[in-house]
Amino acid sequence: MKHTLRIFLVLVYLSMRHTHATILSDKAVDFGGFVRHSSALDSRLTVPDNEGVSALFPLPKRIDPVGRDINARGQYNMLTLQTRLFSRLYAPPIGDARVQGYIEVDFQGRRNIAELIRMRRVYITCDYHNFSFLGGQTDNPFFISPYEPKTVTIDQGAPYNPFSRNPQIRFAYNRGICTVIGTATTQLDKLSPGPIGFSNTYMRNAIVPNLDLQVQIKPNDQLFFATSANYKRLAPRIASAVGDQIFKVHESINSFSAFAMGWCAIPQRQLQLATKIVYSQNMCEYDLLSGYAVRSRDPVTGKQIYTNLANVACWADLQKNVREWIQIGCFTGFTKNLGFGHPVDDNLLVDNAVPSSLVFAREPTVNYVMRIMPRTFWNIKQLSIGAELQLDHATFGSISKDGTICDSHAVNLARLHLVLLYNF
Amino acid sequence: MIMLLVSVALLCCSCPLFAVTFEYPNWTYTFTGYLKHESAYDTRQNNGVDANEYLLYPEPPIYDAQHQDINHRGQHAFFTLESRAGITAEGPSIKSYQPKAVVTADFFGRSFEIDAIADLLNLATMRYAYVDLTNDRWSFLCGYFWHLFCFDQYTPNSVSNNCGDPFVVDSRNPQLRISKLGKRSKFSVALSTQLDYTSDGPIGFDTSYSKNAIMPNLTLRYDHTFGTHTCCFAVDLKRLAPRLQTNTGYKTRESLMSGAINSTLALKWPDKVSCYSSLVYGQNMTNFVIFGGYAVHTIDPVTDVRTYANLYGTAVQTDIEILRWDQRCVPGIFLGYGKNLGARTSIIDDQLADDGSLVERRVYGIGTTIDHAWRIAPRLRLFYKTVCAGIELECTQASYGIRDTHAKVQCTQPVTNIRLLSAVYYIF
Repeated sequence: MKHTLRIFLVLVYLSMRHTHATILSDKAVDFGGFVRHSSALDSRLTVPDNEGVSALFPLPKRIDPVGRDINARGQYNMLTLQTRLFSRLYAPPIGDARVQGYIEVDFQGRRNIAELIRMRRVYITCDYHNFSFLGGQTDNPFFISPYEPKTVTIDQGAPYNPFSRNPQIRFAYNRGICTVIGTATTQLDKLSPGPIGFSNTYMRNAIVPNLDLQVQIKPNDQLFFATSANYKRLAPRIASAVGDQIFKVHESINSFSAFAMGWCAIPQRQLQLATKIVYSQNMCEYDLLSGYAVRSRDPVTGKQIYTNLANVACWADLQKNVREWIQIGCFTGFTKNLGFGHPVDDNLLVDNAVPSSLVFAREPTVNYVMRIMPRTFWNIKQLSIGAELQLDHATFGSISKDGTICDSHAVNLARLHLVLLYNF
Repeated sequence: MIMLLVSVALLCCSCPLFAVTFEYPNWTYTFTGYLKHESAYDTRQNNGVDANEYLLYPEPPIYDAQHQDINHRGQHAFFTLESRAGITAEGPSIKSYQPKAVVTADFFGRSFEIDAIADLLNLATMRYAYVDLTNDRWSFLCGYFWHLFCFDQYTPNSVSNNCGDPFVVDSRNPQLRISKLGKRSKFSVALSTQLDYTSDGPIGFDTSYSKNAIMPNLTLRYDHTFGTHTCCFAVDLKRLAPRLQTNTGYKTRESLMSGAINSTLALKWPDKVSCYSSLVYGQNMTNFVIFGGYAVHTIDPVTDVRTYANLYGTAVQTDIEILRWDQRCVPGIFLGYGKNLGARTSIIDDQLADDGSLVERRVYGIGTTIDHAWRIAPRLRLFYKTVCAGIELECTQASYGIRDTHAKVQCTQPVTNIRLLSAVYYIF
């Protein structure tokens, strides 16, 4: 009887949401998803990702022999790759512990191979009194889903906002308004760059997972604060080659990052305001602009010492419900390259600049990027229509020995993004 | 294949055993799909996609030192790639519109690249992902679905997955489509871009030519129904930007406009016979899997800026099916003919080294060294409850030759492939 009641309560809970449940044996399952059709018109070529699903920032100038910028060229594309399906499984309780499973897939494939079904989130959660455990793949700990920007574009603020999903284990302890969360993550979909390109071998070879300690404070439903400290270790290589000889090397780089965020809702004015500031070292896999670089090289063994490329990013997002069915909002972001932790040795410089081949980051020649992105959403029952204008300003230059950017030039991007989304 | 899917969908609707349906207040979810195992025996090496599960036409002869054709060698393979599953969600009406969302996946992996990379096969892939809003006067569709230029309801119902390609227009695209529904007519307009079915160009088959052209593919279509018969007519306009930078480093604004027309006559006498015929003619229809493409017309000797010429192609096909015997035993035959019509202006052919190796491609498309090809493919399908068995003998002949200065193919030599295909479907 007690068991049946639990299932009934789960079904009541599910019926209040926008998904649908059925009972398989003694488990409750709900499923749902959405079809998302997006079209984007760009004024300039952008940093390419999976078929242009999102535009991180504009490409730098590429000048032809008569001084014309080759990358100053528009693009238009339509995509349905962000269509998503999910299912949640409510298992029978184990003692006082509530256990759930969650599976979510989309069609973004891996990198430039679109259309393939991709695991997006797959995890198990177990809640036991004040403790909770999560194991599986879900958002990185720097991304707290309910309080992130509600942008039309799918990346929710990257490269100003850390955006990735990782395999992880997460423990949380809740006491009153305060929750302490410890997380260990590795890499699978979004990867760190290094000598052999984007790969998860650098983290695997480092043995230590990415460790994160976070504190969340939620005084009431209208306020939320969070801060986090993150440690990561990478082993870029396990062997070096000098001439015809190969040497075993123990190379590694340690990186520290942190963020602080605040979120508040003003129900009387139908307003939500969120803001976050992130200091990052070597967080390229979170779609941020930081990374690392070769600092020095032993001429005999080829062993390299590395230095972090630091970056600061901040954003603010404001959203207002004008009517029950219409929302407007605006996202603003700024991110800046802070340079290397230690200057690169003079003998590695070429023309007094650090060659790009020694820097492992998404785009190491970026000085700063800023964005202003107004948007609107119309919701008609289960149908949503979104429109967003993304205005980016980015500066690029050459990398000095301390990692700061000199001789920079600016480029601008305007992207008009329209989305039609049907939830089921 | 498309008709097969339609048949499957109809069967699913008519037989409660086939589809799994969940109903909730205002919502209906239907899970459908089928498993297909097929066995294909070819008498010759072939040009196709997805490890040749999707057969286009036979490979040209390559002669060894003893003048023996190396490609005159048979093949055999089993395939299950066409198996698929999908969900249809029908929600509460939005004003007078009935919404429907469809998401379907198959196992072709990332396809439509000639000589597809084998290790990307056998991965679950998006087949349809679209939303449809329809009332009695208007219909809106957005998402990934059959191209409006493709008459998906009236394509051949072959056992082979190619459904008559390269003699039938075939393409799925991200699109926005609006249709005005009349009593016996339908007028549709669609804007689309490319994703899986792509155009050819200097860097191979890629979506970038369509994206860099900024203008989406524009298609108009008119359908008219008289009794149980239908005729359709469609016009397509496309712009490509083959390059942004010349080989000598200059910025360039090269582009190419291409147009095409397609028509079909679908005659259907219920429980007796169906006869679907189509004729397509146009420029640069590589993304529709029709012979043709485009080629370099002129080259600026200093900047390397180029102009391009469209290669024309045409194809005609008829598919006849006998629907007697309670539709449990369905014999049919497909007849197709396609011709490469070349360019209206002169072209500059591929650049070859002294030893005959390719230095740079300057002619882009499919079947650009084929003058014409034809296919005859009789078939028989047997249905029993949720199981369907099919057998098909597909005979395809392509006449290869040498391109002249107008991309017309001369001095042709025919090569023929006969594929014996058998398949078993389990429909759920």
